[in-house]
Amino acid sequence: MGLVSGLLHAQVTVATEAEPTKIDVRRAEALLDRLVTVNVSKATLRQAIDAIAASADVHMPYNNELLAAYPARVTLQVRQVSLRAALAQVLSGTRLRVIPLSNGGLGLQEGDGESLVIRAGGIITGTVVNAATKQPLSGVIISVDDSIRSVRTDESGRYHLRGIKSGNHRLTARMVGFARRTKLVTVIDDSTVVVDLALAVIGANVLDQVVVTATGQQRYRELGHVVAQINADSLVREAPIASVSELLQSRVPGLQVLTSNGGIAGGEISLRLRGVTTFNLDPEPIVVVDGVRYTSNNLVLNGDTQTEDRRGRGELRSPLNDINPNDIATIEVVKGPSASTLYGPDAANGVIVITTKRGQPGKTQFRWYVRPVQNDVPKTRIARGYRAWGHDSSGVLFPGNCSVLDQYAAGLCILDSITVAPTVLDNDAYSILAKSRPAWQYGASVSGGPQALRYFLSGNYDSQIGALQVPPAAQQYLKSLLGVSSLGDAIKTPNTLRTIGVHANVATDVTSKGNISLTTNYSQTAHRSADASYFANQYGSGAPHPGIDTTNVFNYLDPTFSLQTTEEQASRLTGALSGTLQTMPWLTTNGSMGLDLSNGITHSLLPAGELYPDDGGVAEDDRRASTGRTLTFGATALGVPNRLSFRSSVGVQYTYAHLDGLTTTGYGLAPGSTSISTAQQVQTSQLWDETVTLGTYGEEVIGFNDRLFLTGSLRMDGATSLGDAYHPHPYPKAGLSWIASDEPFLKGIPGIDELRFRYSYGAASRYPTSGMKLGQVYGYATPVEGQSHTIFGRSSLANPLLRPERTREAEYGADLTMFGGVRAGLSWFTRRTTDELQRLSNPTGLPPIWGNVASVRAHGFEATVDIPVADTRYVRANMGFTYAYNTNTVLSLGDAKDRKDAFGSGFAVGYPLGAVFGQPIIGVADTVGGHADGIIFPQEVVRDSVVRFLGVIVPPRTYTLTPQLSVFNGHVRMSALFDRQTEFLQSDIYAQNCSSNGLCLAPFLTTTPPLIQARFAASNDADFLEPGDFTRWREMNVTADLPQAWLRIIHFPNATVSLQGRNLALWTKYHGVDPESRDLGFSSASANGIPQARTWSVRFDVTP
Amino acid sequence: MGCHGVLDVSNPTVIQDGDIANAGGANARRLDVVSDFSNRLARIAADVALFTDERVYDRRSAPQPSYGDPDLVLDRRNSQEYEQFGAYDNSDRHLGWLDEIVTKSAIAIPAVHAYAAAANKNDFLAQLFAMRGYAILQMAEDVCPGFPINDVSPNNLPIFSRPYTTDSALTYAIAQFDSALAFGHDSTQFLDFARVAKGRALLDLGQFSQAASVVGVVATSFAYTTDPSVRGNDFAPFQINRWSFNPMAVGNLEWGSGLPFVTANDPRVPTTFVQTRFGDPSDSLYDQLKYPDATTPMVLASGIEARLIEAEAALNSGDASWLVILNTLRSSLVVPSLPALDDPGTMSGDIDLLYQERAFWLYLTGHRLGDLRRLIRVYGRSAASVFPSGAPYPLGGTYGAATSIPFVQVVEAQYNPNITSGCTSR
Repeated sequence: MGLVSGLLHAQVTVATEAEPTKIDVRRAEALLDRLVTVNVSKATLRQAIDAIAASADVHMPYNNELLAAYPARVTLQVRQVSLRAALAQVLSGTRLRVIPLSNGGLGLQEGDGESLVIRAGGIITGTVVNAATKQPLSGVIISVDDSIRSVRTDESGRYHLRGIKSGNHRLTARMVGFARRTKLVTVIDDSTVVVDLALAVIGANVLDQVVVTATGQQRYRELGHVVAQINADSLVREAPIASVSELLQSRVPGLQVLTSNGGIAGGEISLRLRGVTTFNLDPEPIVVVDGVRYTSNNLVLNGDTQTEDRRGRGELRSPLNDINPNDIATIEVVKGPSASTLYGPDAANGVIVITTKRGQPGKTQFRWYVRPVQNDVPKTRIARGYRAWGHDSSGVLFPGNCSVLDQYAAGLCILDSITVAPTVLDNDAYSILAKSRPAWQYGASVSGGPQALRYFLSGNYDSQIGALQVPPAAQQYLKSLLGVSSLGDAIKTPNTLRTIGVHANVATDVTSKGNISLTTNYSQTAHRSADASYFANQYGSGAPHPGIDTTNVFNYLDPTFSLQTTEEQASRLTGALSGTLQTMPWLTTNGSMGLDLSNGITHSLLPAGELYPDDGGVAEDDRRASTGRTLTFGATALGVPNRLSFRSSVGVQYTYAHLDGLTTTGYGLAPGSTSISTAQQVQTSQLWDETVTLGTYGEEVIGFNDRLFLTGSLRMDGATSLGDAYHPHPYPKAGLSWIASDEPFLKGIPGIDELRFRYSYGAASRYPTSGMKLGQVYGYATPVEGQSHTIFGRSSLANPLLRPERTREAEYGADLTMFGGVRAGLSWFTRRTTDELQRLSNPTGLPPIWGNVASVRAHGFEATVDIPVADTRYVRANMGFTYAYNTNTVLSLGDAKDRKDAFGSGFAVGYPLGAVFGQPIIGVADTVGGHADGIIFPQEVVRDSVVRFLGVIVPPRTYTLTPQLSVFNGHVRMSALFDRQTEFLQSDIYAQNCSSNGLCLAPFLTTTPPLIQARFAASNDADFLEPGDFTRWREMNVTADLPQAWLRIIHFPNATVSLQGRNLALWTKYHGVDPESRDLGFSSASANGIPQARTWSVRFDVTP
Repeated sequence: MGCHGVLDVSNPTVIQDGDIANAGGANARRLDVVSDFSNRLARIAADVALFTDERVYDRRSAPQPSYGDPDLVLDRRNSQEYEQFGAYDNSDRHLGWLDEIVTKSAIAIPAVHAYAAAANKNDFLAQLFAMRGYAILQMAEDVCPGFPINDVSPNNLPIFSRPYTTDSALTYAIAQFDSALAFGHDSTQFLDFARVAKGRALLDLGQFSQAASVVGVVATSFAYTTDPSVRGNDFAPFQINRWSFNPMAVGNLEWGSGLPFVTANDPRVPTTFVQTRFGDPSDSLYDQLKYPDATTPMVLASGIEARLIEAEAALNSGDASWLVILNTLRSSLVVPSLPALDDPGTMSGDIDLLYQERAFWLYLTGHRLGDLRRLIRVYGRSAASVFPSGAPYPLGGTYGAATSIPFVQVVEAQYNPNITSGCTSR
């Protein structure tokens, strides 16, 4: 091995990245990565090179005379080293260099030009930058010879690898979101080699990236399925992102972030990956943070059909957003069972894999940021409210609003007068429901330490006041009514959100072959959520107003009477201890254990109405605590005999989830009291949910010539829940990845740089709840036999034979890189879920029973295209485009029945989940009273006689467009994100509220077109559904690195400032407030009240 | 898997059958039946009242679809529309409400039998069997033949029933009453409840003398009512809401041949004027005052009914005491006394008079449909003479030809392979 080393002189060689390599060089370098096994002793240089070339299966033409000039005998005994390393050894001390040939092969040439084999010596150090922006990249993993020993670049992109043994080494730089780079480096004792690297940003289709899989890190080229990656660190610094949900929104084709009331600070969100294919179980993907299962949504399927919120009731902050996005390094989105099989139970909806930031060795690095934000909720088109006064035929004053046409038409109410309420459109002081409000985000981090004990510590504080308000004039009016000079905070600022978070990671190398990492995250949230229904009512009916809202108890518009406040206090602690140990050169073991502890207390108060003391009030105290535990252990063996490679993994995973809640509600509070202890009636309910899962898996990946990979795996897992013993079920997975462009017979296709075809198949599950299996016994106290007794009854029958819902998915696609930069990724999938759980309504009189009866088929297509538009020294421009489509069809309902009801919800065989049905209005017959009076009454509405499929409520088709521009050598960067969602229905909730509450003027106006009158007159949910298609300008940012001259003045080495805007514009024909503010379920078409918030912000990011 | 302990879970909030396998749990299950029985029988009586001439329906707007209002459909006695609504709503409300009592009692009876304290076990069993029998009796009287009586097994699995005829259901009900009588030796209340109900079933079977024999020991003052402490909206059908779109009113010569419950001014059916019918100011709507509020109990079985059974038995045996019984009730139980009735002199007239007395004594208690059907089934009267068919219905369309409340075959047959057809007769 060391024969040639003595011929070298200690030297320092600086290798820097040149301009983008040509295709020939890339292919030549790929050849140099081939592994060879050579055993020659005292051979001529020609013999040695021939042996090396033969082992690598590479034809290396050379000039015999050239080699004859080096008569020294060569000894080379290597096994499974790269061709590059072998050549470097035998060519050391010569002037021969390896060059790429035009046919993509390798040649030998004498001279001083650049060789593909870099020679250097000593310590390896250097800087890693973003090839596009030239900005330093922090957190890049630098490793030598694919060892687990690695370092990460610091905030300045610098890295140092010390104590590297002399000889040839393979240096690898990798980071999620960038193309992996590998260089062969020769190191000599007491010398230093500087290797600066520029990593190219990649889309999801570049094959050299590394992704986190259930079995550990894996090269993307080996996987048969698509994995979308989000480089959180880069995005959060520049894009208008304040939460994990905003980090995910519109970023990955197929991933939808549903927002119920976008304008509420801390409003709820829900995730959908490739749509929904379950009727009654949790439709959200699972989330794994640093290898630990992480509670991400607020939904608890408790028992039978009952669902509960994990943290309490009301519009609560989603647990997913407990993580500060500034603490996230990368996010990987695993979209379906074809990829998620090994993640275990409930992975049928896909997996979001989050990796937080880790400690980086080196000099202590500080970083801080501040982000002032201005929130606003746009004014929008609303229905005009009014009040109609009337009496009945005997002169009795009608109690309430005499405006429901039924009443009017029935002669129950004879109209006396109409009072028109002002609306936002009138700019009335009583109608200003939004006010521009500030928010501040602060954060700082420090990282560093020696390789033996590296650390990362960060903290953040966010404070936000939501943009909704009780109209100022209404506040004044209320003060005068109550005789007080000041109102409570809940009236003045009904929506606030404050969070504080700490994130820490400590990592150490326990030996040269192993490391341990401890990560912990703590967050505390104080959230006052606005009462969305209050604001929805205001939008729909006219705001509280003298003469409108104080006349009687039927009117719900009074601010004190209707404004319910919910104060949420939540804290969360997560921790993950993980370790990796390379027990043998070919065997790596890893394990992790994690905790996820959460506590939430919510206080809800609907005050006893000072205006109407008889109505009392309601106070609720809700306390919930959840515990999650994850324990995983796995081992991966790598073998590379000749042209084959083997990657064998086995593992076991244990998860435990527990939720305990207690809710106490007091009804009929004493006037002025907020205490449950003053309530006339108190009710208490308890919530408990406990699930344990245990799974094992094995996976084998076989590679052929590093261009064809076959994957086969099997997972056995089961879940224990009440009433069911542990019954493991098998879930297989298979994959194929073929890098066609690496095949000799396909090389040379003009314009094609990389072409990969992939296929993947997998199965995953969703488990039934305890209540579904056991049936449910209800118990409650009720008056019977003269006093209050507890009664027990059975609300559903038992079915101990229930199985998990089983989803199988096949995904196939292609990744293409062409013309040196255009990248495209295409994926098709088909998914079939069987054993879907349905509540079977027995013949009336028998309690219902759950059965595995239904099946659903889904399919879809996703595309990602990335096109470099300009790439010059001064200007770089890029255009990103994504498209996703998914749909599904209910194939069978088994013994369950179609529910094609006419109220805007339902399901039926042959139609998708989330379908809405109805009998559309097809005309009017203005005949009541014997003449056409121009007023359309309910009984004059003519409907289609057939219940028809109207559409779906979650957009099946989404598009994003992301133009990016960087100028001034990458120092000024601009980007935007446009989001379009189509082919779905959304309810115009305000018109619907206005109609159902009888507060619309339209029905009484004979100038209103009859069909519009008919909609209000009939007041049927389905009539208020409209196409919700929209295009939204989701994000915009302009980011600039401060000039060096400025930085010198403020003594900061790096600083950026970014102007950011979110939800800046909306284009839609939908008549409601916001087509994106929707119910988070999928079987109801109800829209929600508050439009998406528009924010402007400036972020300063400083590295002192 | 050998992982016991690691994989165990618990859930204290989930009530499992094992948790309530004790005296308290058994009593709580019994009370579930008691509560449900009171609620459901009130609803049943409201249905019966609509279907017969006891109540009429008003509505301010046409339902969409036309069969979308089950109250309207019942009042119109249209079998097809009732079944359409059931299919549309996936419900079979009248039969279902009654079967709920059957299935709940099937769960409660074994629990009481196994766990109730000895001191009241027999009473509880008598009560449960009597309520179960009463529900089956009501099915037999109200629902068209061919209906199922589904049940629940001890391990909480459904038992799907074969079709029952009216007579076989009555026999099944009598078996329940016999069980109640066997257990109820400690409680006169439950014994008399079972006796009167059994007498009513025997009457439906045309076994008049046996019926009279069973109820003979029941005191005239006896009354078994729904539980007045049970709260709920299920008594709401008896209230008229003046602002409601669909008020129900006391029937008065409905179909033209119905009884004059309003104009008779009979103190047993007190009424009050509320408003005129929508679209027809000439038609006055009266509310009933028998149940002035939701806490007023409904009498399900009574000594009065026992005497009426005896009167009917006497009439059928040619015994003139039948009129004496009726007049004794009129004179002794109403203040001021009602005038004595004269004998019409013909069997047909006697029956009419007896059934009119039953109608007023048992107004809004769920008996009327059984009585009208008995006129057809036992006395051989034509359906057309008891129920009108084809006459104009005040809210549109015509009266249907149904003489019993149908069951919804598509609902009952969806999991029950034994139900292959609908009503075997209407």
